[in-house]
Amino acid sequence: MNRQCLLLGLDGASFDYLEPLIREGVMPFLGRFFASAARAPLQSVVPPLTPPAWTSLVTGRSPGRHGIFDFAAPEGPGSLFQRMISSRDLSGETLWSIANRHGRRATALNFPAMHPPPAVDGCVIPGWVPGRWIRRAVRPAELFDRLKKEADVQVEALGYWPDQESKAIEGCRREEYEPWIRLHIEREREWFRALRYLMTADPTDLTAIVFDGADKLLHLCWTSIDPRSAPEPSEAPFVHLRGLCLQYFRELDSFLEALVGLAGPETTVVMASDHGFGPTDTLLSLNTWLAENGFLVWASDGPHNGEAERVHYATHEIIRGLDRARTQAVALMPSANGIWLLKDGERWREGFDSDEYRSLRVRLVEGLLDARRPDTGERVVRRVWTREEIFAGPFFERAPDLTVELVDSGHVSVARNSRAVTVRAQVMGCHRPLGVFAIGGPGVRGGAQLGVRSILDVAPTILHAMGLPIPAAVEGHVVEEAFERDWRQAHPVVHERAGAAPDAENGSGEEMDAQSREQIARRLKALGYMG
Amino acid sequence: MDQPTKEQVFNDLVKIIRDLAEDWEFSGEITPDTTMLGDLSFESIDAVALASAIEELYGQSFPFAEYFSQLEERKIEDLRVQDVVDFIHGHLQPAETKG
Repeated sequence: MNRQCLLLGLDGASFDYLEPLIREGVMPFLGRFFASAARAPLQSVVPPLTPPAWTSLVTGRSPGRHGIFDFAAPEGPGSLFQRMISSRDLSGETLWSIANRHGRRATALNFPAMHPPPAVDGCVIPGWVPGRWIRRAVRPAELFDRLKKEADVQVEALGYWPDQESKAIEGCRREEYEPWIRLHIEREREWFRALRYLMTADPTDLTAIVFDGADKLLHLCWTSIDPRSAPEPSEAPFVHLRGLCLQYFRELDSFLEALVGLAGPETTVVMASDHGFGPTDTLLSLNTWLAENGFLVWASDGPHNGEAERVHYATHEIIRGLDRARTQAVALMPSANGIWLLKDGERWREGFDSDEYRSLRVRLVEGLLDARRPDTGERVVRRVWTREEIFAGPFFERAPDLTVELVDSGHVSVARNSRAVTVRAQVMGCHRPLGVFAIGGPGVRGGAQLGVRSILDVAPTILHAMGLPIPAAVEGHVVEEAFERDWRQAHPVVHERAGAAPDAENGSGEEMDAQSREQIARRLKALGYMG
Repeated sequence: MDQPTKEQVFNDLVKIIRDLAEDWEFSGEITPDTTMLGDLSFESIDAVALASAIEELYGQSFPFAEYFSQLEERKIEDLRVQDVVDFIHGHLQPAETKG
C-alpha cells in the first residue's frame, strides 16, 4: 500500500506563541499532536517571507534555485516595474509534481506561486488569487462547481482582496478590526470545508494545505494574541479583540483535529510553517533613508505623505516619483526588504565586478548598519545581504541587489515618510526566521525534540515518509532523526540520480546537467559573483 | 507561425475578456471602442488576470505594469479595448525569440 502524507501548513506559526495558546487550553489538539510528534524549530529562508518560504518548503530548493523571491518580480530583465508572481516564475519540481511522477495523486490548497494552476493529477486551488477570478484558477476546472454544489463551499471567499490584505501591514481604524478578523475566520472555515470535502470525496496520496489567516491576524493584532506586548491588557477593546483572535485559533485547532482524524493513523502528518512571528515597534522607511543619505532623489512632483506614515506604495508610484538619472538605489516592495541599484537611470545589469558597483554596495551596507532608533540610539539593521550571499542559483538576477535584515526581522516601509526611522504608535507583529516543524505517524519518534532544521528539509522528509526517492535537485536533507531506528533501517533514504527528473515545473526543461551548471558558473563569474 | 494580425489579437482579447467577465455576468457587445473600466466593469485587480491570460495565450511576457503605470498619467478610465490590442500587437515577439 502506498504510504500517504498530510501536510498542514500553518502560515506564520511559531512555538513562541503557540505554546502559550496550548497552555491556555485554546489549542488542545495541537498540544496533543506536538506531544506525540517529533518536532523542531524550522529555519526559514532569507528574508522569511511567504512566497519564497512556502516555495522552498514544497520544492526543497532555495530561492535562487526555484525563482520565487517576493510577491512580485521584475517585469523584464532590465525593468524596475514589478508584476505579481505566477506559477510560471517557479522552476523545478514541487512535492505534487514529484508525487505525480511516481504515480501518486496530490492535492494542494492555498500555496503561493500556484496560479495559473500547474498540470497536477489531483486538485489545486492556488493561494493569493483574487476572489473575483478564482473560478478560473482551480484545477480541475469542474472543481469550482463541485465545491459549490456538493460541499456548499463559498469558493470566491477563498480568494483574497487587496484592499483588505493591505490592512495587515498598513493598519486600520479601530472599528475595522472586528470585521477584518471575522473575514479571516470565515475564510479559514471555507478552506477547511473544501479540504474536508476533497479528503472524503477524492482522497489523494499527498494532501497539502496552507492555513494563512494566522499570519494576517498576527501582523495586525499581535498585541491581542501575545498579551505580553499589550500596553493595557485589561482594557475592554483589547479583551474583545483577543477573544476574536482566540476564536480563530480555537477553530483552527478543531480543523486540524478533524483533518488528522480524516487522514487516519497510517498517514504521516506534517505540520510546518513558512516562518515564525514576533513583535516589532520600529519602522525603517527605506526610501526615506536612501534619500536622506544621497542614494535616492525624488522628482519635484514625487509622492509625499505629509505627516502620515505609510508602509506601502504601488511600485509605479515610486518609479514615477523618482529622479531616476540622479538615483542610485531604490526599494520597491515593503515585503522582501530589497534594494535595487540603478546606473544612469536604469537597473544595474552588468559590471557587477566593477569598483563602482562594489563601492556603492559597501557604502549602502555601512550606512544602513548605522541607522538608529531615534529614542534609544540602537541600531535597527542587523545585516545587509548581497544577492550572491542568499540567492545563489540560476535565478539570482531576478533578485534585488541588497536585502536588508532588520534587528527585529520586520518589514521596511517603501513610502516617502517624514523620517527614516520611527517608533510605531502600536506594536505590530512581524515575521521571524524560526517557524515550526512537527511530524507524526508511522515510524516517527513521538515526543522527540530536535534541533533547528532547515525549511529545505521538509520536502525531502515528506517524500521519504511517502516512500519516494529524493530528486537530485533537492537541496534539503531528510530529517532522519525524526524516525525510529528500526523504521529507518527498514526504510533507507533513496536518492534519484541526477538527470532522472524534469527540472522545470512545466516539463519544458531537463534536470540541470553539467553543461548547464557550467554555463551558469561562467555567467556568475562574468557578473563578478564567483572567483 | 505567422505573427497574429491586429484583428486576430482583437478576437483573442475579446475571448479572454468574455471568459474573465463571466464571473460578473457581462454579456454586452465588445467593440474596439468599448472601454475596459467603464463598459466592462474591469477593476484594477483584473489587470493582473488579464495580463496573465494574455501571456499564457501568446507564451511570452508583456510589460503590462509599465504600460498601466503610463496610463495612469492619462485617464485610465478611457482605456479602450483597441488600446490594449495595439499594446499587445506592438509587443508581440517573433516565435523564435520567445523565452
